[in-house]
Amino acid sequence: MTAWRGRFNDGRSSASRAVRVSISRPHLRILDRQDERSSTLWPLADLQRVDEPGLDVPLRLRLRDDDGARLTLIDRGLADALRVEGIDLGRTAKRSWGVARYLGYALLGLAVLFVVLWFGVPTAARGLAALVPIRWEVALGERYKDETIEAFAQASNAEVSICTGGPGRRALDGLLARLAEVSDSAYPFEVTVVDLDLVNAFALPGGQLVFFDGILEAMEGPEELAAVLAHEMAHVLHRHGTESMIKQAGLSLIFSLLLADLGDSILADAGRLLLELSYSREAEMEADSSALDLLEASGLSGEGLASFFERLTRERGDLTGALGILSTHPSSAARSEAARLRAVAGEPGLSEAEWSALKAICS
Amino acid sequence: MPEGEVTSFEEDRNAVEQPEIPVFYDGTAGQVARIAVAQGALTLLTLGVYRFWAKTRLRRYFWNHVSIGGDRLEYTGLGKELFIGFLLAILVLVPLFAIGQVLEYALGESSPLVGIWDLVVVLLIWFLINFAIYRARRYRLSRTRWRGIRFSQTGSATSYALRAMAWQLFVGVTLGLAWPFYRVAMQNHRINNTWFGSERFQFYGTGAELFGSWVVGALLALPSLGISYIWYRVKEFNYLTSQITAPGFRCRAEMRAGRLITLLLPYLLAVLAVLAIVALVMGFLIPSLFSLSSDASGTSVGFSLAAVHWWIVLGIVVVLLTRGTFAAVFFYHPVLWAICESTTLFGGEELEAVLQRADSGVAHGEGLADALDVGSI
Repeated sequence: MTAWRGRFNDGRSSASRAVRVSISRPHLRILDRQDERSSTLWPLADLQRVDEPGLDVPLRLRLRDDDGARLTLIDRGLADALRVEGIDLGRTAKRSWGVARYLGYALLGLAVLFVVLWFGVPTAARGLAALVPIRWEVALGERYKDETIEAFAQASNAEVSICTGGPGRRALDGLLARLAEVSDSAYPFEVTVVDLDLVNAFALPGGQLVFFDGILEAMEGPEELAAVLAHEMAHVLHRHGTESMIKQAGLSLIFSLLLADLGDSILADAGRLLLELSYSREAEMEADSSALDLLEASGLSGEGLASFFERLTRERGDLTGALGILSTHPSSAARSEAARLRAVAGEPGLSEAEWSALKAICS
Repeated sequence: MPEGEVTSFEEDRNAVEQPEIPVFYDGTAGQVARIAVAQGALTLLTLGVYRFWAKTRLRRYFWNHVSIGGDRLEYTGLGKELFIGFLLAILVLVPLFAIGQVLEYALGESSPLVGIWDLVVVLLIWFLINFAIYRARRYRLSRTRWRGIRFSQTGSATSYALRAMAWQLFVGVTLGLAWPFYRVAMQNHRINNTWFGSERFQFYGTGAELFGSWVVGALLALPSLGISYIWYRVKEFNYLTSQITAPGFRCRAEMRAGRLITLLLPYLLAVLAVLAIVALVMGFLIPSLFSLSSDASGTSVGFSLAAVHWWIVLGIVVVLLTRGTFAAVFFYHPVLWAICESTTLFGGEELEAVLQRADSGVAHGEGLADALDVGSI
């Protein structure tokens, strides 16, 4: 009978005992070399390798149900002999299983992460946004308005200048009031026109709307202005801005926690931005649809919504992402189609004279 | 090979003087690299989620290759435990940040309440970092075995964290002069709460022993390009290690700074190279990316990100995600090497009579340490 030399730790004390190990089915017999009468029997089926196979370290065994006892082999060859007996310690179940299991956990974690990011956070943000008092939203919008305008101005290397042209201003406020009236909401809507050549407009939570002169220039009629105005108001009414802030705060938090090991907020920002791109499409569609409701209720034409974005697409190519009315936009082509789905007939909203005054608001 | 060691070890037991217990680390950079690259790739593929399992795999390798008196250390931790710990840490941290965000949105940045809360959060994070360091150490010890006997750590993490904060404050007030005293005090707290089975370690030391070295090391840090600081840290390591004893057991560490720097040279050079590249990319390209997509209002201002920007972001992601892999091969491996080759342990018969201690029941680990980026291999 073959025997291998080794040392044995019984898991109760740190003393090492020199042992002689032999296979006597269905056990591994561990015989004390000092005291031949004392022997330990380990079931072959329960043997487990301590160290990973493939590493050049002496074979070390424990029982599957670990009680701290360890058997370290000095002589080589036990693993091979066990293999002959049908006990495979080499690529043990533990290891192949282990990798699959770790991968499984990792994939599960990833799946959970994606569900949280794509469904959990947006849903929670929507729910939380609905709970925010309008008063808070108003305060928030007022607080961030100047900063946001400043950021746009800086991006295009220009000074901030607010347009206050009297008659144009009155025309704009009139149109706004007409839409606000039918919106039946407590939001104190207010439009600021900034003298910047950006084809852009955005809405802040609480009713602050900002239009750049460039977008007014690009409009060919009052129905287009009414449409964009209604669209921005719809963002406010749906609390998209507030929702997006909560969403971004949540995403930042999750990303920075997840990447804590890598500890870099740039990375977290990039990840958040990536997700943000795919979020806002839904919101834009929702705003378009509500804008049509607002226009219809106030007896204004809804033609402008489709025509404005269609023309922009034709003239400037697809503006995906480049035209930020709230945030990143769905393809202009896709939205005008959606807008076309429901034709809303009505009046233009401004007289010829009012329209010319408005076009000149910044001059 | 191991047979000879065992015999000599058994013979030495009868010597009057505490015999030397041979310590060696026989991991190789090639093997560490093989494991670290494979694990790093999985971490990359899973956007970092796999890192708990990757870390576990590497630890198993490092522990397995440290041999003390002919018996190798064993790491019995599981990636699952680290992952669960991390999820629990998120449960602690999320409300902490969420409350601050809500307060800020609701009351405005200038509200005194927001300021007070921010202060509370800073204090809490400060506390949690120290708390996490102690807890992470407890987890690692509880998952380390030698000859089947578990290591463990007692003592409350709260009291450790509060002491550490008081000391850190004191170090600040004394403009850093108290640093060695702080290091010794914390080592004292840690070691006196560290157990191997039924045997408790002891630490006797005073910061005064390190004070001179610290002053020299800190003052010359700038002119010597940090080398004097490394020299101090090595001296500190030697002192903090050599003062550890247990009944019938003592340690001696004689690491030399030159040796450590030589071993770490590839790492130090590579870190400089990566930093230079990152600085270059950041300096030229990142500002344009972020000035365009600045979102002061939270309503993100949508500008299209050119493809090139995404490549840079991807590059950063790759560098940051592979950092751990790189550190395993060029930092942890050589440092472990330096520690093992410079440390000598002495122990007699008492070492054979250590009993297993009841399981302290550490169920999951290091979550806070990981989330707060104070965890290490």
